[in-house]
Amino acid sequence: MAATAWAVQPGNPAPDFTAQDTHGKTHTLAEYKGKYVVLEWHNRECPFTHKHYVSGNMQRLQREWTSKGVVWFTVISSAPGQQGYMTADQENTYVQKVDASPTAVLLDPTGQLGHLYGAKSTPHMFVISPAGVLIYDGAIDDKPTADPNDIASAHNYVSAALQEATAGKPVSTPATRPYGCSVKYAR
Amino acid sequence: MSAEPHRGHRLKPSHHFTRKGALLLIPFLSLLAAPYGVAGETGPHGTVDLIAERTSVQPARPFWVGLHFQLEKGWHIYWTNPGDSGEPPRVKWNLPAGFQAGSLRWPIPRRIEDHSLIDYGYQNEVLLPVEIRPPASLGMGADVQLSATVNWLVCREICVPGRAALALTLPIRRGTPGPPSPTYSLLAKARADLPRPAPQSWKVTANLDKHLFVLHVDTGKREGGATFFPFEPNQIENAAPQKASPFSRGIRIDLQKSDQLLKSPPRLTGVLVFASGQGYVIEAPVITSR
Repeated sequence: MAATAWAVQPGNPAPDFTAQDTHGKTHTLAEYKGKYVVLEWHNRECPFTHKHYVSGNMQRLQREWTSKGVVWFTVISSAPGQQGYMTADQENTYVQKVDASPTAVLLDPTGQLGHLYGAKSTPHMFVISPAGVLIYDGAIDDKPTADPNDIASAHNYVSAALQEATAGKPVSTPATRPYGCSVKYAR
Repeated sequence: MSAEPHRGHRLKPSHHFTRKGALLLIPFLSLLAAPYGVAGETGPHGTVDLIAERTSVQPARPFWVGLHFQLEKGWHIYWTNPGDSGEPPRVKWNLPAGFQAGSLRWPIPRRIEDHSLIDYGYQNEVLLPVEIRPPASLGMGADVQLSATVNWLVCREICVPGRAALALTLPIRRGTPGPPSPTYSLLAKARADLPRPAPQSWKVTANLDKHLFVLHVDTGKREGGATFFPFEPNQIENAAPQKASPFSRGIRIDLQKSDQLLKSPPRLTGVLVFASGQGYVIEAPVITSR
C-alpha cells in the first residue's frame, strides 16, 4: 500500500491500494486512473446490506454506473470466522444468485484495505474521481434504516455524487455518516 | 409477560439474520393489552414492554410512559446517535383522537466497542421515557388504548432487526390520577437519570484546530473525569480515545475531529457525562484556529 500523508477525506487524493478479486485477479487503484471508482463495503448477512440487495437497489446502481464506465468494487473486509467472511467461490456463487454486477469483488480478509480507507460499516461507500481524488465518503443514502421500504423515498448520495461529478459540478454532499453494521474486522 | 421477565423468551442461538427475509419478529399483537404495561413482547435477544407511570388517564394531564428493553447478555441497542454503526429504536404511535406523544427521551448511553469501532448505546436494560399528552376533554368511563409499533436493531457481533406492536389500556378517571402504577418507580428513576440541561453558570467552548476539538467545560470546580457523547454524527472520531484533563475550574477534553467533517460546525452539541454518572446536555460554540 502506498504510504500517504493525506487524511482519507473528500478533496484529498484517495490512497492507492492493491487487492485481489474473487477470480484471483489483482487490482490497484492506480490502474483505474481516468475512471470513476466506487468502493462498496459489503457483508451479505448484515441487515443494512441485505436491505439494498433484497430490494435490488444495489444491483441497479451497479448496473447503471458500470454501464456508464464507472469501476465498481464491492469489498469484503470480514475476517475469517466473522460474519460476512466469504471464500472466493462462495462469493462468486452469491454474486450470480443475487444478480449483482460489480466490476469485481475484492477480498480483504486482513482488513488492510478497510483500515486504509477507514471503512466503518456495511454498506460504507466511497467515490473516487478520474483524477484519483476522493469525492464522496459516507452512507449510501439518507435513510439510515434496515427497512427496504425506505429506499423509494431515499436520496442516494452515491448516484448524486456521480451525477454531479460527471456533469462537471462539485459534489454537493461529499461526506456523510455511513450507516449500517460495523465492518467485521479481525480482532 | 414471560415467567422470567428479565430474560424473556430465550431464542435459539442459531437464530440470526438470514437472507430469507429480515426475520422481523412481529409478535402477536397485544390484543389483550394489560394495564400499566405488562404487555411485554419478545423480540430478538430480549424483550420490550410499554409501561406507564399511572393507572388511569385524566383530561389535559400529561403523564409518562416508556419503552422498556431488557436484553440478553452482551447484546446492545442504540442511542439517538448510534456512533459508528447501528440505528436507534424508532416508535410510531397510534393514539386516540386528541392524544399527543412527545419524542423518545434518551438516557445516558455507554461507549460500546464493536470491531475496533465505537457505538453509543445500551446493554442489559434501558427505559426510554415518552410524555403522553391527553386532550382537554375525554369521555368518562371509557378506556384509552395507546398503541405503538417499535422498530429497533439489536447487535452483538451481528445485528438483528426487531419489531413489536405494543399496546397499553388505561381507564379514564376524573380528578386526581390515583395511586402510581407498579412500574412508576422504574419510570421515575429513568426520568431522574436523563441528562440535564447544563447549568447557566457553566462556560463551555470548543476550540477546533486541524485535528482536534478541545472542549473546555468551566463548571467552577475541578472535575474528576468526563466522557462526551456527540448528538451529531461526523463531528468527532467516535473510536478515538477521549483525553480528559481536569483543571481547577472544570475539565478539558480532547476529541479527535472526524475525517468526514469538512466544514467547521457552528457548535458541538452532545451529552457530557461525569465520573459520577451524571450527564448534562451541552452546546459548545466552536472557535476555529488553524
